[in-house]
Amino acid sequence: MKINFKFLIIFLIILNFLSNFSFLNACAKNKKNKIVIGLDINVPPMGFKSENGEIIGFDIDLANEIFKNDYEKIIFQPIDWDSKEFELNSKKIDVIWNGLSETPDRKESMLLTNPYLKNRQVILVRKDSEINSLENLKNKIICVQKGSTGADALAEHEISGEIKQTVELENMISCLNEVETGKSDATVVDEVVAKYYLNKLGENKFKILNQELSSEFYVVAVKKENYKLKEFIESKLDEIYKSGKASEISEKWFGQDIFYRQNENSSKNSSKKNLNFLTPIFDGLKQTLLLFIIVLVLSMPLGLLLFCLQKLKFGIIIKYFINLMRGTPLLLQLLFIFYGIPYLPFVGEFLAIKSRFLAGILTFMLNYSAYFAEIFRGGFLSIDKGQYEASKLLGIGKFKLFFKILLPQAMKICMPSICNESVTLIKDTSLIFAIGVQELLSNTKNIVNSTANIMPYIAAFGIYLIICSIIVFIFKKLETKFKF
Amino acid sequence: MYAIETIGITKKFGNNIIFENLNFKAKEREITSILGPSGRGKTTLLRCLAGLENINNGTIKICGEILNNKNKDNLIKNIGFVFQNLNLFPNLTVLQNLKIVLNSSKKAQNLINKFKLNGKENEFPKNLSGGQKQRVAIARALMLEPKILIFDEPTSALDQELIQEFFKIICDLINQNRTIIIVTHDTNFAKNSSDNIFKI
Ligand SMILES: Nc1ncnc2c1ncn2[C@@H]1O[C@H](COP(=O)(O)OP(=O)(O)OP(=O)(O)O)[C@@H](O)[C@H]1O
Ligand SMILES: [Mg+2]
Repeated sequence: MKINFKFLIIFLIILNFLSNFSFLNACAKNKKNKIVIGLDINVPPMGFKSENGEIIGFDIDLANEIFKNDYEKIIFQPIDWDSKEFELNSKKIDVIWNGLSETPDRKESMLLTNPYLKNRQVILVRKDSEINSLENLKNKIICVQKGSTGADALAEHEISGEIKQTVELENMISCLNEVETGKSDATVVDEVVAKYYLNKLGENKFKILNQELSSEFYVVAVKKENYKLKEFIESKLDEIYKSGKASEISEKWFGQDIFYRQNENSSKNSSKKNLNFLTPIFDGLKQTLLLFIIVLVLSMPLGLLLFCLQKLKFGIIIKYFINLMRGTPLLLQLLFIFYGIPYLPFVGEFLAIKSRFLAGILTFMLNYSAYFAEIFRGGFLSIDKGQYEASKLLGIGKFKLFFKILLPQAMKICMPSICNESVTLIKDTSLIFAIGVQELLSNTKNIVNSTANIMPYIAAFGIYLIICSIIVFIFKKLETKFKF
Repeated sequence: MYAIETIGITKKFGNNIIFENLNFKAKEREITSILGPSGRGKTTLLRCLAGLENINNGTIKICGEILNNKNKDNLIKNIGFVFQNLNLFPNLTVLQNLKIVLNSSKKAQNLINKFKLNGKENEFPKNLSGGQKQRVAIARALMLEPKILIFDEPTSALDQELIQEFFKIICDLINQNRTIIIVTHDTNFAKNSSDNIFKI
């Protein structure tokens, strides 16, 4: 075991060292060709079309500042906001930068940077209004933009039960107009938008209440595996924050500096660039290990059960099942169970397994239990028949015979084969990628593709090797437990 | 009165006739030796007596009762069988080998004391000497207190001293009113120890 740990440490040091080099290499590269930024052009002041048709905005200025030194061409591509994930994944765009608020769903489907703005849903009232807090909104008319975050925030807030009326309008300008003319008492609006309008229209017309309805972070999104680009953007954001360029842009659009940075310490922590490609690898490793352990723990008893059932009358069915499982590729079984079963006539709908991971576990379990059944068969076959005869003459019951005499002997005989099967299983887990579960190998492959760096492959080699050594070590230990 | 009696039994393996029309008798509370050359069918005969092999013809009586498929399990309880290769349970310790037959610590401990296996209770069979293993097998067969004890070649793996010890053990068993059947190659042992000799 000691050797294994030493090996691990040396391995990580070498990895660290080499990846430093590759990182420096990447930085030293010439200007890259182009970067495509996807955005919805109807979100002033973040990104929108000016009177003369140009795309302008706070986010546009920020993105230009970040990419201008490293990319020849920066393309702002208007997209359908609903299909933004698809646009990213199909590589039609590289980045989504457009007042994108951070949500758990988006964290799942895309890779998000650290926040650069903190946006609150605030209440805007007339400068001379007697409304000074959320409390004062009772029995007032409030105007919101249809389908906006502000509308949702108001609906979810407890105050919504006590207001007189909610007026939904098509756009923000109309809302402001309502409030200005006194038709509505207040409107809910993004703080950044409010600041923008206040800056543009003059501060003497409106005021913003201190209390907020809710708050969220604005982040930049890149394709799921594109850690390199994410880190690039984050480090550049840090850079323009420190150089003061960020506050300059913020002043231009909002009249004040609202650029958001996490406290220095945590941002430093998150910029441990050297070993960062290990993060997705370890994420994948978690899936791999989880699958491995669950399958191993479940398929061994199931295999034993299958072996025993073969002795019964309908045992022939079990034999056919084992032949089916052993005689066809695991990959095919995975695809059939996850993608195929839903198409079965009549029953498909009910049998379909929604969770990819569960479908994977089920397939692996069925497949491996077939192999384990055969391993156990071999183990029991090699027990001397004198053991059966002796216990028969001694009047030892079938149950006792099986669990106290035969099973322990069979287990001892089967141990090396079970170890071997476990080592095969840990390598086979990578097949679950075929039904879309992100595991160690697929994550590794993705990082290599997006970073053009061979180190993740080498890391994967090392990790598989270490896991295998640990498995073999554990089984060696287990074998010594059989003292007979 | 015979403890075991066979009347005209025949045993074949396929077309290979091992014995035909065989009449074997073992008197109660006596030692009966079965002598015969290797491959003649001694082990096969014992296995037939213990119900481990089916016979093709004839009848077997155990304690006066005719052995059939119905009473087999019950009748066989009268027989303790010590196999040629002993067939101890290798995954169980000496004590466990006894207690798996009958969960009685007292009985097991008595037999361990009697067969001088003290201190070996928690050893696995592989760590015992040949003589010790044989005594465990005998002790195990005695857990159910059978009336008849059958030994297949008990002396072949033992030296002269251990054969003497084994002889003492079976004398002791006779004193407990048991019937002993021994298969052996050893003509001298058969002559010196047994009341009857059956040649096959
Ligand atoms: N299960 C079996 N199937 C077929 N033939 C068998 C079987 N068991 C024994 N035989 C045959 O029966 C014959 C008698 O065997 P058995 O073991 O009874 O001999 P034995 O007298 O005990 O010999 P030994 O003194 O060497 O132990 C042998 O020729 C053997 O090949
Ligand atoms: Mg023999």
